[in-house]
Amino acid sequence: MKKTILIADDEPNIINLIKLSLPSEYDIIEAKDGQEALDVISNKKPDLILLDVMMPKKNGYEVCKLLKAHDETKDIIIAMLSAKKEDQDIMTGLEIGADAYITKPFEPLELERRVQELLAMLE
Amino acid sequence: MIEKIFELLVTDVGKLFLIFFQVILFSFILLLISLEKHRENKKEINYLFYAIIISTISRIILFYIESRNFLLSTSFDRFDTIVLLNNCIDTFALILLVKSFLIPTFRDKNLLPKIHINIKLNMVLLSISFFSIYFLQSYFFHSNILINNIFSFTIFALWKITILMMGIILISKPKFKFKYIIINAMGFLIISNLINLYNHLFINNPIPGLNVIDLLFSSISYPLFGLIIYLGVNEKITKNMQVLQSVNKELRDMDLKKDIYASRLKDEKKKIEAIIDSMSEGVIVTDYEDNILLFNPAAQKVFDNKNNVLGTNLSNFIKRHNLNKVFEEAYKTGQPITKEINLPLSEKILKANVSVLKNQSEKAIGFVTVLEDITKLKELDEMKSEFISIVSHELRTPLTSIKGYASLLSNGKLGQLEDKQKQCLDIINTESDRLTNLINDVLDLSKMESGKMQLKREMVHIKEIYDKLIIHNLAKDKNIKIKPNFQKRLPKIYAEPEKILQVFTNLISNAIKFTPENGTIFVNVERVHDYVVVDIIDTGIGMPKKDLNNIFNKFYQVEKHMTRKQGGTGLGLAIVKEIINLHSGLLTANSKEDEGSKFSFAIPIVQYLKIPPIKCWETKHCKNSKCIQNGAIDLKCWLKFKTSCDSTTDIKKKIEVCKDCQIYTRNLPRQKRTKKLIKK
Repeated sequence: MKKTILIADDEPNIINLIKLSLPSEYDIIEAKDGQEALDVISNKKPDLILLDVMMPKKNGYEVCKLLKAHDETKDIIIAMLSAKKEDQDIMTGLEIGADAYITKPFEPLELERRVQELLAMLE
Repeated sequence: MIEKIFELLVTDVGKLFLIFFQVILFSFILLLISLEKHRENKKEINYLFYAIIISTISRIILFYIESRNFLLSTSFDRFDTIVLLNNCIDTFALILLVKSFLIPTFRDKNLLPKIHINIKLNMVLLSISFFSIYFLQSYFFHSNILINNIFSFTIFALWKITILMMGIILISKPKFKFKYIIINAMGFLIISNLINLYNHLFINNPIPGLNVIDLLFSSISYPLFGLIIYLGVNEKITKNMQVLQSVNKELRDMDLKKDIYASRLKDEKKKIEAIIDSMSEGVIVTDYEDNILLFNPAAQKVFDNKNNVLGTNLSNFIKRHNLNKVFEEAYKTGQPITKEINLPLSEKILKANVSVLKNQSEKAIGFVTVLEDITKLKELDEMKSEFISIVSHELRTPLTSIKGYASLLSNGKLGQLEDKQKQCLDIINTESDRLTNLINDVLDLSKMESGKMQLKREMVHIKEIYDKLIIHNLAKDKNIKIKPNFQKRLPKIYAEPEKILQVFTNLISNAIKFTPENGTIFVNVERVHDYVVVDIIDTGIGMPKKDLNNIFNKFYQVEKHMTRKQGGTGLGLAIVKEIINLHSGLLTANSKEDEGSKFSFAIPIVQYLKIPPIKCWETKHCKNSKCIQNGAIDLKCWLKFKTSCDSTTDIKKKIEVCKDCQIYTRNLPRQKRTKKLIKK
């Protein structure tokens, strides 16, 4: 079964970059902001979310918090993907329940490897 | 009338009365002497004067009688009685004279250094003998004429000798002005005495009229003495007056000066008050019981206080404003304390500096609190941090795209590329890496500089940190050998491993950059006192001395190196400087052109250094010209200065550090240190 990955980022270029970086074996859905991400998830529950932090409407932390607070969504693997790379930011991300924190800029190969690792957790 | 009195005096009752009168007189005068000994000089001097006057009167009476007898060739039958009366008066005068010798005028030790005591003694003996002689003479007046004559002569002689002595004393006084008068007076007196002597020796064969001459001469001499004494006393008074006047003048001058000083003090006080009032920082001065002694307008503004609080107790005020903890701490330690305080009422943030107020004898008498409203500063600081954070985020986002797409392309994921295309993409990749590093460095630096960087320090082996170093590939490319040399049994350092790793990385990659191919880099690590010192020595191109002081500045370029071409961010050494500084360590650089450079850093091995750290990363110079290390910029040399200098014994007085740093100047106990060194 194809794994579904939600990419939530306000930068279309980044979404595109991630899509190109990941192998075609994944089902990719997109969201431009936090609220849209939540809406998308209510339609189709993804296996993994690559979640940007600095997004309009609802930021990544808020989305992560909401998802981890609900029983239906708390098993979704969340990888924060952010240009904020201070220790403080990473700590916050992990504290609110994110499973990984990937910093921008990233190496496409590295991202692919991390995604594979995270999805392996499901099996 | 006078005749009747004489008749009365001739009888035995009359004689007894006279004797009795003399005794009373003596007693009375002795009493006066004892009582008035401590009175003012001026009054006592008068006795001398009276003595002379009375004596003169007595002479004049005698002169009158003798001249009358001589001129009228009559014998005054009551002559003896008159002589007796005269003697009474003389005695009185003499005692006054003796008393006058006891007064300070003639006891002036400066004028009569040694004779003074003798005179005093002589005068006492003299007065005793006079007393007895007069008593006997009065008693035997009629019974024995010979005794009478001898006594009479003795009395007169002694009386005159006394006056003569006084005259001699006065002449011997170097400051006495009236020597001329006194010589005259003494001349008259001597002549009168010689005549008197003759009269008494040849009482049965007198020369007629000689008595008269004697009395005339003595009558002249006495007033002269009186005059001298009067003038002398006057002079004394004048002198005293002059002294008094000068004292008075001095007092007035002092008064004037006092006024001047007072007005100056007032001016100074006003000046200081004006300064304190115009300060933008709030100043509060309190005594030990927390009573407010000073509360400047800025402090009023800080607390939004409009009431006059002077003299009131600060305790209520502090409790309301959260200040009490700061005070307690300052009180306990006695050291100035700086703390940030949030005012709950006005939402202001204050920086409070509380120091103990000491008086001249270093006794604590209260507190001085300086309050700075840093609300706006804090806001600005927040804004700055936010700005940097946003900027770096905004920079990273496009960078993510650039780097990501370039990587995708060069990975060949989107199709195979020609070599030249791949080369170009590799450059884009490297440069975007560099840009990423730069952003990271800028962020790190700004955090460290603003003091927001909190070190996660632990006790760690420096070798373990070094082993994590992963820049050896760079060295391999240029075939550069890195030769580490760790001293055995190195103690752990107190540091954050990641940060020290960054220092190693930055310094060693720098060294690699500037070392030509096939070169060698030495990494020597050893312990010096309370530090572990790392020397990173390269055999590179080195740099001129003028650059040494600037290489730790941000984006500084050594012309010769053209750092940017070498791919650095220009912030590596600045970051090293900040990291070492955060660790209370030391950092120096030394270099010789075309020979190589040497970077040294020292990290403390203990959490609390006994000697405060020297916060310096600049070139250090030993100030002692005798020191063979003078001008040395060797870190180890400087660490040794902190305890002792190898090359000279008298270096320990001063440690001077460059202008940007805290300056520590202190005397180090020489002997203790030396002993410790020997032990080591």
